[in-house]
Formats: sequence, structure tokens, C-alpha cells
Amino acid sequence: MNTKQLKKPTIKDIPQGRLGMWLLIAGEFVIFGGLMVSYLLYRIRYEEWAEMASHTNVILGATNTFVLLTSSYFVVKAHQAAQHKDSKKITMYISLTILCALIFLVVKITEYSQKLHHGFTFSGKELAASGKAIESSYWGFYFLMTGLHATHVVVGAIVLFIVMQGTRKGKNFHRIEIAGLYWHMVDLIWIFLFPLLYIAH
Amino acid sequence: MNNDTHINEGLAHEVVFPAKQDYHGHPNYLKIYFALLFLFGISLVASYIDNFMVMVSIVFLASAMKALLVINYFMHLKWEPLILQIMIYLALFTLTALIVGVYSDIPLVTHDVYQP
Amino acid sequence: MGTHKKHGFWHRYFFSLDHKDIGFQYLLTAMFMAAFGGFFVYVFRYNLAFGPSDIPLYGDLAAKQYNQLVTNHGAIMIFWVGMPILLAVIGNYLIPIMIGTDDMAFPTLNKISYWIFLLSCIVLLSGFLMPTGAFGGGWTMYPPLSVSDFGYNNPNTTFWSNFFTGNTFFLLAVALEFISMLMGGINFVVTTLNKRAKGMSLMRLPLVVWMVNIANLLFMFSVGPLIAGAFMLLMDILVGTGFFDAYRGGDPILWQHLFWFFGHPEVYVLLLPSIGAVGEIISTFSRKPLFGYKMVILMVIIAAILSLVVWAHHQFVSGIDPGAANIFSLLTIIISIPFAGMVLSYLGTLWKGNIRLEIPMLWALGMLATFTFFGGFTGLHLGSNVFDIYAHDTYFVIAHFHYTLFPTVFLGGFAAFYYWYPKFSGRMMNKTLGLIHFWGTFIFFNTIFIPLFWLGLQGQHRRIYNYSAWNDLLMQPEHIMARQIATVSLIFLLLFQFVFLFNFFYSLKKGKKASKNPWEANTLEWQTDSPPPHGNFDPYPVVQRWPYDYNHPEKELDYCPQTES
Repeated sequence: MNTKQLKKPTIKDIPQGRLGMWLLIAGEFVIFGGLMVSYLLYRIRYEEWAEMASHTNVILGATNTFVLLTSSYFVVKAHQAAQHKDSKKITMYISLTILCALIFLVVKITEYSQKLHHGFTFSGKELAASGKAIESSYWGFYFLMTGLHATHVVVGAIVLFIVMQGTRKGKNFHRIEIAGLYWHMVDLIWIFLFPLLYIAH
Repeated sequence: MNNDTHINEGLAHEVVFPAKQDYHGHPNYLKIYFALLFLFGISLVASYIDNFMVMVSIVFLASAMKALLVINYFMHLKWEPLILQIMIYLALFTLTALIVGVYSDIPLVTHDVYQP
Repeated sequence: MGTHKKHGFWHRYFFSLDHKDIGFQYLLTAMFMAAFGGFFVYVFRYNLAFGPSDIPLYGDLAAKQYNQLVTNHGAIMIFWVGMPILLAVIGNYLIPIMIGTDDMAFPTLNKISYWIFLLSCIVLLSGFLMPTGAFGGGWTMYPPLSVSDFGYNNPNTTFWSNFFTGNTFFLLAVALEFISMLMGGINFVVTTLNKRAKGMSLMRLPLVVWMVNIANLLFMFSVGPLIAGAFMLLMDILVGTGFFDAYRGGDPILWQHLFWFFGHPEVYVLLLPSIGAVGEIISTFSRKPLFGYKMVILMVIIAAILSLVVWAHHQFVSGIDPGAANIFSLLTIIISIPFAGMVLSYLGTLWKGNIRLEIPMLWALGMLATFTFFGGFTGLHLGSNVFDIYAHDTYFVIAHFHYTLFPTVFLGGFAAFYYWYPKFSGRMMNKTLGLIHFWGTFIFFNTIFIPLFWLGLQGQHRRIYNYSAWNDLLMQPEHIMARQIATVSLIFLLLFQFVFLFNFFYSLKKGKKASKNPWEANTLEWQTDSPPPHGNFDPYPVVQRWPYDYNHPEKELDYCPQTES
């Protein structure tokens, strides 16, 4: 593929599906950003949350980061294949991406069950009852942010699957790119969630 | 605005997707993927540093660089028109404004818990 | 409106993909919701002036119901009347025909966004059917009042008993409304940027298209933190997390920040489309080019960005850091500069113009005058934290924000409505009825709120159900008199809206046929038939010039359509 710039693009050259997806992504950034900002502000205020953050499983979190980064690579390769209308390659790469999504979700479920097992629930009522009122809110943020993100993973995987089915019939190749943009956004959000929740303690 | 110079071929309602020239390039994605993994490794190693401030700065710097790589190369923002880039980065501006505005009210206020 | 005879009623009003039909659906829904908002305000204003018992058409009003009506009046007028009329109707109906294209970029998304909007209306109104009644904690939804009537940690509630409360339904309705407006906003921006007709560069766009798009972008960027906050609040209500529970380490102040971070730009989201339409009208009826078109756009962009950093002036007395309050106060006063620039350029357009006082022009001038002199100038006072601490939560604030929002939503909205009515119905509105409607609305609107300014400065607090408990302070004859003047004016204001409704439906059937371009305006929508056919243009226009070439020296006519070379 020619990597040279043909002419300087103007805003009118962007295909409208891609432009719409970019605007949606900007909106999603601000939504997740609002959650992260709220978390960050509380996190700076409360020393107590550092201890809670050390209860997160860095190994599982790192696995998930690796899985998502890899899936991002697969998606962009699928996008490259879509420009050549190579539906076999697309199917391969998108299947790998969906596999990554499944691994991500399995790891996530493992993590959640560990947390619940230790008594760290979403509502945090148990922890609050045992005298750790302030610490209990940490788990609210933990479950809300990762849960919302996991919902996006599920939606992204379903969208990718539907789009892949379309390309196997030989149409709508451009949708791979648009669905791919959404998937990269999911990855981008995780890039920030991982250090916020897992590493900084 | 230099939009006067550019007039789209064909009328707006006739344009369907493939008619438009896709203008962004394809860099070597494998290289970028390894760069991402390298930055990821750095943040993992850095998490063992004892000094909290140093550790956090390194980790978040690495994250920001990862995000820039993904957004510029995987999402091809680098090749998009300037207006779109500005619109996307405006989202970051709003979040920065939010942090700065709220900072003196949440982190800087000591929290006295009422014990029932 | 005879061009769509082949489609049945259901197809036209529920399943249409045409942007004009969807705009009309939004308009009817918003008018329906405005009837609720208007009825609520009548009930609680009657109570304030004449006492809570035996209110005509309602009966007795309890204190809790008073709170519910006030809360829902605010929310309905802003989210279910202002936003759909100014963003969705103007955006849907006008953007495609003003930029010279056939439809929106994503017609299906457009339809879905209307359906979600309709659903949000239903969810909001069904809050009144809940066992504990509708939500009554103020439209700003401050926790802990919004979490439950009993605050946090009430042991007697379950997930489902919390779900079926007015609080949850209110929050869900607002969330659905935001989703609908976000989808609509993405659609508008993509349409404007991507589907412009040949030759329609960004600097040839009509002002109102610019304004709607900037408003949409502003909405998109400011609403995110509130959606995040709404997730947190919803979890606090349903699951029992402690995001805003002070005992659990949460902070209610954070909700206020997240809310007003959206809530202040929201004012500009409403204002910009309205003032854009007013700009179109002023230029058309002054027969003069819009003075300082580029400056207005620049000013609007500056104001939009500044509006993201002024939000805390709503919280001066709620315990925020006084140092930060000074900075927010300064920024708030600075933001008046771009708006002063805009008003200046509108006055420059009027200056020595060949003014035609048609009905839309009257509304536009009324909007400009009241918004600037009363809304804007009292905003300067309240923006300064020194004065705000004195006036906060009094009727002075109420009068101030009604003087900004009423001209924006209703005076500006009616201006736009009367201006584009010939286009979307194909008939002219009755001018006499229009004059009666304008003067009735304009005069009584002022006589409602000028007494409230005075009452506010006397110290009348806003959230009081019955003033008889404050005998020493606010039950003097002159206070009672002022409240009654306001209430009687309100009743007249509402009655005059029936003139409008009659005019609307009467002219739809019996009005004089409108020509293609009844106001002799330049923009593209006037170059197609009234009402525009499906697909809007045939053939598609090629734009040759900017939209404000009135009284061009080289032209014979005093106007020159954008398609003319």
C-alpha cells in the first residue's frame, strides 16, 4: 500500500462513518475520563486506598494489558487486510481479536471472583461494616470502572464479529476500520485503567 | 480556512464510501507493537521502584506514550485533518480543566469522618 | 404539507427517516412536554401567591408535591423543551437544507435518537406514578437528597424498592435524554462537516449552522463527567455504593462539580442555536450583511472554550475553596466579553439597516434586548462571588436565570419558529395573531420576573413552599402583592400561548400559501420549494457566495441568494 500522502486531506475527505466514530470516541473519552478523574481525586485524598490498591492482582492485570495490546495489533492488521479486500486474512485476524477478548473476559471473571471471595464487593457494605468505611469506596470505583470497561469489550467483540460476517460475504470492508477504531478505544482506556488501579499503590 | 480550494468531486448525496480516496498510510505495525510492549515492560519494571513519586511519574509517562502510539498509528489520527485532531485533544483539555478546578476541593481538604 | 400523502400517519410520525419529519416529531414532543412544564409552574406559582388549597384544575398542593413540581418543571423546561427545540428541531430541520444536501449523514441513527428521546419523556413522566411519587430533590440532583428520601444507609430498602422510585426514574430519564442528544449531536456535526453542497465552504455556512454545531460539540465534551457521575449516583441509589456518601469517604461536593461542569456549558448549548437563529433573522430583516460574521464565530468558539472553566460559580456557597472561587469569579466575568462582542455585532447589523418589523424580527429583537439587559447584566453581578454569597438561593437568582433561559428558549425559539414556519408548512402564519402572541408573551414575561428581582433582593428564599411561616420578613403587603403580580402575569402568559397554538394549527390548514422565499432571504433553504420535497433539492445547489449578501452594490435586488453567481 502506498504510504505516501496523496494530497492534504480536508475534513470533507473523511468518510462519514469514520468521522462519526471519532466523535463517539471523543465522547467516550470524556465519560471514562470523568470516572478516572473522580477516582484520582479521591485516591490522592485517601492514604487508606493505597492499601486497598495493593490487593489488586498485578499479574492478572498485566496479562490483560498484554492481551489487549496484542488484540489491537490484530485489529490494525485486519484493517490493512480490509484495504486489499482480503476476507480470509480479515477473518483470521478478527477471530484472533475475539479470542483475545474472550481471554480478557475470562481473566476478568477470575479476578472478580477472587475479589468477591476476599470480601471486596461492589457495594462495599461488608467492608464498611468491619470498620473500614473509607476503604470500601475504593472497590466501588474498581468494579464500576473495570465493569464498564468490560462491557465495552463485550460490545466491541460483538460488533467486530458482526462486521467480520459482513466481510465474509464480500461487502462493507470499510466497516472493519470503523469497528477497529472502537476496539482501539477500548484498548486506550485500559492503558490508563491499568496503572490507575493496579500499579499505583 | 482553505476549504474554498477544495471542492469534492461529485455531489454530496452521490458519494459513497469507496469513492473517497483513503489517504492515511500504513506504517510498520509490528514495530509499533514491539514499541508498545517495550513501554509496557518499562511500566512493569518501574512498579518495583520504592520512591512513590518517581514510580508514578514513570508509569504514567509510559502510559501516555503508549496511548499516543495507539492513537496516532493504530488509529491513524496522525494522518487526519487538523480540525479532527483538535477536536479529539479538546476532550483532554476538558478533563484537565476538571481536575484543576476540583483539585482544591477534594484532595486538599482533610476529611473528618463522622463516627456514629 | 401535501407532498407525503402516500405515507400514512404512522409511517410519517413514527417510522420516517426523513430529517424534516424527524424534526417535526421532535417539535411536537417538545410542545407536549412544554405543556407539562407550563402546567407545573402554574400550580406552584398559584400556591405561592394565593395559598396551597383549592388550586383551579389541580386541587390541594402538599409540600412534597410542591418540591416534585418545581423539580420537574426545571428539568422539563431545560432538557425536554429547550434542548429538543433548539438543538434537535433546528439541527434536524435546518442543517441539511441550509448546507444543501438531501438528508442527515446517518438517517437511521437520527430516527433512533428520536425514539430514545420519546422513551426518556415517558420514563420521566412515569416517575409520577411511582409509589413514593416523582423525584423532588431539585433538578440538580444533589446527593444525599437524590439518593433516597431518607439519605444513605437506609436499612429498609432493597434493590427493587429503590428502583421503583422517582429518583431512579428521573436519573434514567435524564441519562436517556443525554444519549439521544449525543447521538443527534454526532449526526449533526458529521452532516455539517461532510455533506456540504458543492462550494459550501465552512466560511460560507449560515451562522445558525455554525452555532448548532459548536453547541453540539460543547455538549459532547461537557456531558461526559456528568454521565460518569450519573453512573456513580445510580449505583449509590441501587446497589448501595458510597461514591457520594460522606461517611464512606465520598464527597457530595464532587457531584456538584461533575454536575455543573456540564450544567454551565448547558446554558451555552441552549443559547448558541438560539442566538444563531436570531442572527439570521436580524440580518434578513435589516437587509444588511451580518456585521462581523467571522468575529462572531471566533467569539463563539472562545466563549465555548471559556464556558468549560467557569462552572463553580454555581457553588460559591456550597463549601468550595474560597481561593478557587475568586478565580472562577474572574473567569465568569471574562466570559461576558465574547458575548458582548456578539451583541455588538448584532447591533452593528441593525445600525442604519432597512428594518422590516415582521413578526420573527420582533421576537428576535425582544430576545436580544431582554437577554442582554436583564439576563446578561444580572449575570455579571451574580458571577462575582462577593454579591453571589448575598443573593444565592434567592429569587434574584431565579429571575436571573429565567431572564437568560426564557429569552433563549422561548423568545429565540419563537423567532426561529415564525421565521421558518412558511418553509416547513408551506403557509404563512396569521400576522395579527402573531402580533397578539408576541406582545402578550413579551409584556407578561417581563412583569413576571421584574417583581422577582425585587423580592430576591428583599431576601425571599427560593425553596420555600409556604411563606406564612415567615411573618416578620416576607408577609408584608408589598411582598404579597409582588408575588401575586408575578403569578397573575404568569397565568396571562400561559393563556397567550393558546393564541399561538390556534395560530399554529389554523395556519397549517387555512394560512395564506407561502412562496419559495417569502422573507427574501439568501440562505439555501429558501431556494427550494415550501415545504421542501423529499430529498430537498432538485437539482442540487452549487454555492457561489456567503449567505449575507444583502444590498450588494452590483445587484439590482436588495438580496442575492447563495446560489447566484
